[in-house]
Amino acid sequence: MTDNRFLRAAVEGVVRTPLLIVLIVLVIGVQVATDSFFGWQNIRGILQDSAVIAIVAIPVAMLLIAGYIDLSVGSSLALGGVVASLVMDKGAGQPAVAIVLAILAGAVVGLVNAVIITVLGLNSFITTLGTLTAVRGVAQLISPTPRNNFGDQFGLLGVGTVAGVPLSVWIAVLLLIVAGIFLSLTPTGRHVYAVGVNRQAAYLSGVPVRRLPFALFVLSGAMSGFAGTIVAARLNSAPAGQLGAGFELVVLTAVLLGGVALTGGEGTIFGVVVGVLFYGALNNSLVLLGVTTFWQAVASGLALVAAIGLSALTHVLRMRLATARARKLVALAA
Amino acid sequence: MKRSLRLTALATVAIAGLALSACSTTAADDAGSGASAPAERGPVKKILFDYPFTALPVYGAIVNIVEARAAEKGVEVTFTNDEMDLQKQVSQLTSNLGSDVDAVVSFPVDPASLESVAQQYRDAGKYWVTYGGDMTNQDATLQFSFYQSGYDLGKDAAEWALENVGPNAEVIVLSETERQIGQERTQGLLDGLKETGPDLQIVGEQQAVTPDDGLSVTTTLLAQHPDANVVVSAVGDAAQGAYQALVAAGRPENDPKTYVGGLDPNLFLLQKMKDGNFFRAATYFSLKDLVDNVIDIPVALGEGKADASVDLPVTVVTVSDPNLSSYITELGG
Repeated sequence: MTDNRFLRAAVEGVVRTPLLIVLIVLVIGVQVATDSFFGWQNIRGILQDSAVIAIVAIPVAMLLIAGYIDLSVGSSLALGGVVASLVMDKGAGQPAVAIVLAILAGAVVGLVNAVIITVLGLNSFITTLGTLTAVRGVAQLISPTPRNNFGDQFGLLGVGTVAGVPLSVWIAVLLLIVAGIFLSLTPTGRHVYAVGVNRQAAYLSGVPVRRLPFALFVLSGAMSGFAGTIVAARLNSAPAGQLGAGFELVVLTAVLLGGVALTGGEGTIFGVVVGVLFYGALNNSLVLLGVTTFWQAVASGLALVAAIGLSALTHVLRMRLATARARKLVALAA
Repeated sequence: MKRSLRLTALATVAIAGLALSACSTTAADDAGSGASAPAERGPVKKILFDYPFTALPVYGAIVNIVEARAAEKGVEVTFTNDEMDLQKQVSQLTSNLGSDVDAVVSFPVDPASLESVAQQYRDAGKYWVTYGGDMTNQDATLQFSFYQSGYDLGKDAAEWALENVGPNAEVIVLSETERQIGQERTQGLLDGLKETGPDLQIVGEQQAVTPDDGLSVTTTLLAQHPDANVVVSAVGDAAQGAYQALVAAGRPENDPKTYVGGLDPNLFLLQKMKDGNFFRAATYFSLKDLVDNVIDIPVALGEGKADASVDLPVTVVTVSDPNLSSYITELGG
């Protein structure tokens, strides 16, 4: 009986996050092939890349769970980086001021999205597609020539370490823990799912169906702006046209890989962590294996399609498990 | 932040660098061999500058130089906004066909795709000048040799490695292989490296276009080859990422056994070079010398000059280059 329970728990675990198994197989395979994957410098590189994705993936995942999408995160990231670069140009400013202003700049973008989508009722896909372009233009307008050389203090945000682990990774881990607790253990977190599953039913149950996504859009902008400061600090430069270009696709891919449903109402922060790490490890592995550019594109595209397929399959399996359990309960009751 | 999925969106950026140092294979003297007979044309008073790579850091500097030169020459200049998209480039150029511009200077994302548009411009009595390339339907071209600039940088990197590290120096190549001009530059880099230092070990060759790409790819390759001595990049912005990756890996900025080089460097890199750090070489020329021609060539055509094409020579810039400070200034430093 106990064995069965363990077995069932294991099966459910795999069914919930099958990507984790794929990730483990991937890294072991690459380690065997290259003998380079598990080196600390390599792991650190993956974690640093993944940290920035994770920080933005948190609000993007929450918005998807609530039934909304934010495509403007790449441009908000660029705006945040550019604002920070203006403050820190030639190392003249205060890092704290730069970070706060970058977060505020991103939050303003989020606020605009929030008002248009949740107050005026426009579609989130179309709206954020528009702000994606507009905000990039604003970033280029305010800094047509990239600022650089931000000084060592600001640079710590990008390359500094605590106990040997990059600072940005610590920040991402902290934010992921907070987000995980929020989504799974607080009533407001559960409301996010409720809005995504059935907005009308959530409204009738007293869930703040406008205020919640409003706050999430502002959060998405703010965290993108913050991520922009990390990227700028790491690069020691902030080219407005290139910073975070295409980043929205990267984040969406990682989030979808992590099992967050495009249709809303489904997904976990743990899944997001796995998705982000899988995305980072896959790209890193392709470089370590010396895979050429075009094959890298093929591999990444196929991985995404496979992951979505896997996600759909696990959804079906979960439904079947739940149905089987319900039938068993009904049979027991009878 | 990653390559693969971003590649599609960023493919155009790749060419980015081209704006600065790039180059084409076809000789400038082919210019004027258009297939269609141009209509009657007069002096040039208004020029349309079609530069699609607006996301490049250098775009702002280019616009400033073009506007200043236009003011000097007493002509008007307008700009397209192609957002690095070939379809949009064709659309924007088509929209401007009916405007009162006398000439267009266009950097084609894909030259073959613009041939019919160029022909329509010429049929409408307007001049067509190709920027950074060569087309059948054109009145003149503004070029800067792609392959040679890559070759020269590869040769410089190999010479430096042989002299400062030895024949077994480890080299990382950051390539750009999605477009013909990028391929030519990358091939030039590889040929220059292999011919000058045949025993040098190329330990990694990966695509990198943006600073993010350069940072991520170099970080990964350094994990595999921590003693890599040389990184050469077909795109300057990627070299910036490589530079930061080396610094983040603990390499002192003045490390005597490290070399980073890139085509079309940006302001950041030239400042690092001036400071005596390990960004050691770039293929470059005066941006002003290049961009002034955006105005000068069409004006010359309007004045009846038949051979108005320009093929700008590219040189390898190092810390000892007397023009280094002025290059930094024209990039906004």
